[in-house]
Amino acid sequence: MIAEMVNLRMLGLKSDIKELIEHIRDLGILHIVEENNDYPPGAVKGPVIEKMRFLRAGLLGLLEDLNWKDWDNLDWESIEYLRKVVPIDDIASLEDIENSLVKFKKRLEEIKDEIKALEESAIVLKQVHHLAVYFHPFVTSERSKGNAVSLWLIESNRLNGLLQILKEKVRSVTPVGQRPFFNHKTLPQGENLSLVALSTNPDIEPTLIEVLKDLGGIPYKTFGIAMDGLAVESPHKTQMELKWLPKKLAEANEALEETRKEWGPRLAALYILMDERLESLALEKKLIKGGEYFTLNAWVPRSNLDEVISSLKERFKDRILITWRPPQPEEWDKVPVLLENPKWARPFEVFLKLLPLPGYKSVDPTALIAIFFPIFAGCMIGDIGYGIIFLLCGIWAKRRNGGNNGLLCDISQILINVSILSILWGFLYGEFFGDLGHRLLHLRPIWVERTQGVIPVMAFAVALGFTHVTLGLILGAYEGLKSNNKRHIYERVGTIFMILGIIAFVADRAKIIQVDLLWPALGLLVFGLAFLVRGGGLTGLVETIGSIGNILSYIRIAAIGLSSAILAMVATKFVDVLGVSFFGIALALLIHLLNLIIAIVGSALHSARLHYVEFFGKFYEGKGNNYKPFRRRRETAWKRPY
Amino acid sequence: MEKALLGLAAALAVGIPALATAYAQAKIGSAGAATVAEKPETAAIMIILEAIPETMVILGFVVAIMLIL
Repeated sequence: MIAEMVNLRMLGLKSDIKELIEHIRDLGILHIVEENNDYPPGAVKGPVIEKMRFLRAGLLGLLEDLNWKDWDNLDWESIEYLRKVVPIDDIASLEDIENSLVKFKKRLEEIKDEIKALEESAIVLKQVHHLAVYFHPFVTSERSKGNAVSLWLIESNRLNGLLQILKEKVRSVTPVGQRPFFNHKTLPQGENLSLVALSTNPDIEPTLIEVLKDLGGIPYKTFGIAMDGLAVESPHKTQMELKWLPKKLAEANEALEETRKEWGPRLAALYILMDERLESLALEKKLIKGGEYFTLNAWVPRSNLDEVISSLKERFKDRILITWRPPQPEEWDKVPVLLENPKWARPFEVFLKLLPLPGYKSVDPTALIAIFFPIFAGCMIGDIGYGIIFLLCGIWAKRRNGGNNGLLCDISQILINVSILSILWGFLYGEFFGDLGHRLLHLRPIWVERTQGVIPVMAFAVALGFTHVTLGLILGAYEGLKSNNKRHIYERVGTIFMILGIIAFVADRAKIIQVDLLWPALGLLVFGLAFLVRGGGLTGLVETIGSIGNILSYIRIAAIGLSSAILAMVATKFVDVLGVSFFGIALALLIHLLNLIIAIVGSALHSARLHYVEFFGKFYEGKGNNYKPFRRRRETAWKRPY
Repeated sequence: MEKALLGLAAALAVGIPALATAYAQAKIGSAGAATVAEKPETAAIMIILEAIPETMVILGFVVAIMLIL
């Protein structure tokens, strides 16, 4: 059902506007009509508004820096508390907030910089420690002999030639009478480079360095840490550093996490507060048109009208004038649409959320979906065992959700409804995990065994399709009647007559019933044709052919059900063939699991399709505006703002 | 022999529309996925479009059943 709306107009004093906006926000019922289009979003300006917008963006940036995303669990009481203690309406208060945020950002950056530096140090130290352990014996041994040691990065493919050149150079520069000395130790670094420790006589080291630089050698340093400094001479020190570094890193991360937990919700609450205030300020600007008064126009569900009026009168006494009226037919396309269905049908509103909402005063098909969807899906699954499993899953999902309203709760309720119908259909077909019920419990079908009697199930599916499509056509004619669209009415009524005529004709020719239906059939066809020609000419005939196709499309209910039943039987057959062994039972369970998934996904998708294509196509027009009450963002109404 | 031919005919009656449906759904599915990624509000329309070619295989199934029985 679509809730009946009332247009509410308020006339009040300009001095009360701020209080009124906060009051209607607390009420959370009014869908405000913005008549003044002089202020498109973003066009409302002023120093306070500008500063507030700047801070709101800054708050989002800080939350991003903080990596805080827990919007769903934000406690609305903290916002109420902030609302009371933090003034945000004057520029001085906003500047105070800005200064605090700058300080907070600085502190946050310090923590993040510390973490980054520690992480980088850990990487460097690990690398240095590995090199130190490798080169330490060589370096200490050479230095103890009085030799000079240096480290170089050299291309691996040039290494041998370069070492040969160096040896010759050392030989040529060593004074006569002295023995030329040159030693080295190599460690490959990746595919192309090698790290080489060179040891030589201190007198000839400068010459060697010069030659090496000319030949393309690079003195080795890791992120500014000289290798022949602390690390190589004492690998123990790097090891000690490596031990305490993770602890320090963990402490810094813990500090960041605590900051996130403590300040994330506060910053988010402040963001919401600013966002709400900005919205209110924008509304204030839009409502004031000059003079000492303001007018506010809003839509309210009729069921809430008394509550709204009494609340406003109690708060503003005689300072506000309220008038209300029902919407006129010419403004129906502007009236917001609120779906108000009984509790048993409400979860099925989710099907309409995937489409544009129906127009105001149109038919809301939610209740019909709540009836037909479980029948279709249950008929496709049609197995007691599968139904019980889905029922348990549905109950578990609903309990896990803790009774909260939401998409998951709606889906679990739909699953429960489908599973109950699956169990009922299972009794009609006599199926419990395929033919396992028949084998073990001697379960007999109340109606028909699907795998043996395909025709009755197909005939039933077509009958179901006829009912569903005809219901859609009747609703289409009703819609045409309400909108005074004669073409629509003639087309829908003509199609109904044509379908009835064709069915009567087929029944007569096939001698399904022992009554002469030829003349009534011809009569219905003539009437139908007349209506169709009056309605839409030849296009009306196309509509009839399409409707016949739509009815035949419901055979999928039998077809999908049959494939599901046969797959369940195949699973049991595996136990027959392989015996009651681990392998046989495991294979049977695996096929049942596959069948369970196919059954629920296939039945849900095809039932949805039968509604969207075959049923909705006959009457549904998504032309409604969503009802968006002006309210505080609290409890389940939280949405991630970016 | 007649039974075998009927079986073959029934298999073709389901098989050929199934191939055609699969081809159509593959095309619609890839286009639909791209559309839904850009405009999530078109999800229901995409389900409808994706499901439309299935009618072919359902009608093929009806023909196959009529041939066999």
